[in-house]
Amino acid sequence: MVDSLVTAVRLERRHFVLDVAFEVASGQTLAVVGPSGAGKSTLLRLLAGLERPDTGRISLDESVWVDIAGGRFLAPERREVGLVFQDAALFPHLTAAGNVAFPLEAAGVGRRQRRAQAASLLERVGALPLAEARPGALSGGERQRVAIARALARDPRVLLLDEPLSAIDDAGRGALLDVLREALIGRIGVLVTHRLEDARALGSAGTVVLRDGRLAD
Amino acid sequence: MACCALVVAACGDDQAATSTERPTGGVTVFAASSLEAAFRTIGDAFEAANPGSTVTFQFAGSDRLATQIREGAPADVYAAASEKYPIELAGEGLVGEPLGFASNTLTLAIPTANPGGIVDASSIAAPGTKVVLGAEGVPIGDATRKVLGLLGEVYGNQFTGKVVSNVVSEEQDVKGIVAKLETGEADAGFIYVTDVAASSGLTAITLPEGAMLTVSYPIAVVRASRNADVAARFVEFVRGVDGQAALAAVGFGPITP
Amino acid sequence: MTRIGAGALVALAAAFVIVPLLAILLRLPPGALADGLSEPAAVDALLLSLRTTTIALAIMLAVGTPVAFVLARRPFPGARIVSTILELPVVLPPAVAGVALLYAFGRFGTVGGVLRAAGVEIAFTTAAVVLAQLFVAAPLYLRQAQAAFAAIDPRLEDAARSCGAGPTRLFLRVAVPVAAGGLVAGAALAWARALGEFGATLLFAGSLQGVTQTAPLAIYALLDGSTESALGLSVVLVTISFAVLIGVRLSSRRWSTPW
Repeated sequence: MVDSLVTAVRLERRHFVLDVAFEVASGQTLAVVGPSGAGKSTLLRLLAGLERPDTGRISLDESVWVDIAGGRFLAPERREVGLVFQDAALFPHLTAAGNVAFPLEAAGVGRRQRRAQAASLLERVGALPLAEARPGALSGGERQRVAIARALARDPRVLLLDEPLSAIDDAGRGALLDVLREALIGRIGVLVTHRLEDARALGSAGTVVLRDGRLAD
Repeated sequence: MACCALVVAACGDDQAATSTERPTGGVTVFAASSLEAAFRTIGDAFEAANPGSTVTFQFAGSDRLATQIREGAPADVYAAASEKYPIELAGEGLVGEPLGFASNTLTLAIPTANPGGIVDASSIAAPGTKVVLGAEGVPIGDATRKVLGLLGEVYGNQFTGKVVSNVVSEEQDVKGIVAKLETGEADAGFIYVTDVAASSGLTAITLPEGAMLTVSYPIAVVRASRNADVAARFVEFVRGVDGQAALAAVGFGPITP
Repeated sequence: MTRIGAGALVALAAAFVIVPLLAILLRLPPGALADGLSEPAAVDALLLSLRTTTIALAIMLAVGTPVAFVLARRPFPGARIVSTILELPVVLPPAVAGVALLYAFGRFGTVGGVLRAAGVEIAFTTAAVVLAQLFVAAPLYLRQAQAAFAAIDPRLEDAARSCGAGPTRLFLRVAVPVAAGGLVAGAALAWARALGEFGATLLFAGSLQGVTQTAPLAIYALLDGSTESALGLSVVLVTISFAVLIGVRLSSRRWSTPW
């Protein structure tokens, strides 16, 4: 049996309703496209646990993350997710290696092992030479690589990508796509983007459109 | 028309001021805090008796007022709760000859609720009693130390040491001591009998015969006064019948020789 | 406004601050600074001030930092009211603060009465000095700390949580270091305020050398008689305040580098 992320949630805000249901199987990536304001980021925040739906359920195989009717809501730090933000959102006070080691520290990994794992993660995204650099000294593409390495640090089963390529120029795009493809191998991916070409490049499970808070093929 | 009338009126006033026997104008009186109640009454009476004169007061510790006069504060009259500062200032040529106008007596004061269980002056040596004193160098503090010395002669030489170890705060003026007593935070303190009379909720504990200390209050005209005539008149008024009555009404003693 | 006019106004404003401070120095005969500061009352006062403000600062940081974080980033119903109430002591006259503390923690105060029954008396003790300093200075820190926490990019918080950080780790390892510049500046200003605390201390703690007579109270007391010591202490306090201001300026420059 293949793992899958099953989501059916509804969230209502003052000027905004998000009502979506979908399923993504392991090794697949669902691409969600839509205009800005359609609720793309909110969708990822729901999956990551940064937002609580009004009704619905999110489960990863046997593990129930959210079941509002059943009174269950798993805190973000207890979900097996990695989140990559559009603008990287690196911790400004930590070096690149420190950023990547942060989730490991939270998971209780020892200092020496943390350092080794952070180095190998940075190597995987082609950012090892940047290990001691502060985020302020990095380019947009470099920051995004570090952010991907950070999101992979806990080896999450679900990788959530919020416009990971939007801030990258065309020259850097190809290389970063390769990094993302490699990162998504064997995981469940959810990509939100307003660019159809990014959705096509990464959306192995297909592309759906989010408009006015609802999904359409 | 109105303009001319004003000019004429102003001229008239001016002439009146120079020609009449009674000088008019404003005077500022720097007076020790303990004089506040009596001097407010005296000020009103003085203004009533001298139309055209106004009296403004500044009340503070005698020492502080002396400092301000040295720094050139615009005072016309200086009334102190101690002979020390007026004599100093007179020596420096800053004030005229200080004249006694009242006397005051130090007493032990306690909150009427008596949280410290004070029976008589000897009680303040009991361990744990919270005593507030005036600081050394300020008039109330120096007077208090004299009284403590006298009390030591009455109650034995260990008395003063015990009291000193009971001191929880040394205040810069009488107001500070009164505040600590009125709130009930302290058990006992030394202030003047007039301070007890003026406060609410304080009771005076009479000191033993040998420990009575009476201080003389002197008053003087400030040399730099721009209105020395009125200032001198005010001094005269304070030492006169009306002034003495107002002072006696709040507990001050007569002028000491 | 002409440039000359504007320049004159700026010079006037600067002179308004500088002249009184210089006046202290000019009144101090050469060598008198050391003499004045060797007075036991002055030494005791400085040591006491150092001790009490350090304790007040520690309490301020330990309690104020999480409180500021919650108020700035975990708004709850009434958070703004709470925030406003906590700022109140900043605009309160120190004498009122002293009376208020007295009525709360004094012998017959609301809390003081209970404490007294338990054998604890606060008024006239060093603890009263710390309480007074905390009461008047902590709001300055709270205000700065709230501003510093509020300025953190909310995505950093999301990033930390999605990296597996629980609330405590998020606070200690992300929020505090990222807001460090503002926190340090706020702490420095609040400490300087605590160091200068006078009115509330005088009323609530009294003035006794070595126990409750802090440097500002000693200045007030020494002015009657030992003017040189008072001036010497004043110079020390002015120097410390100036150093704090410069330190805050420098640290805010260092920390404000954008990432």
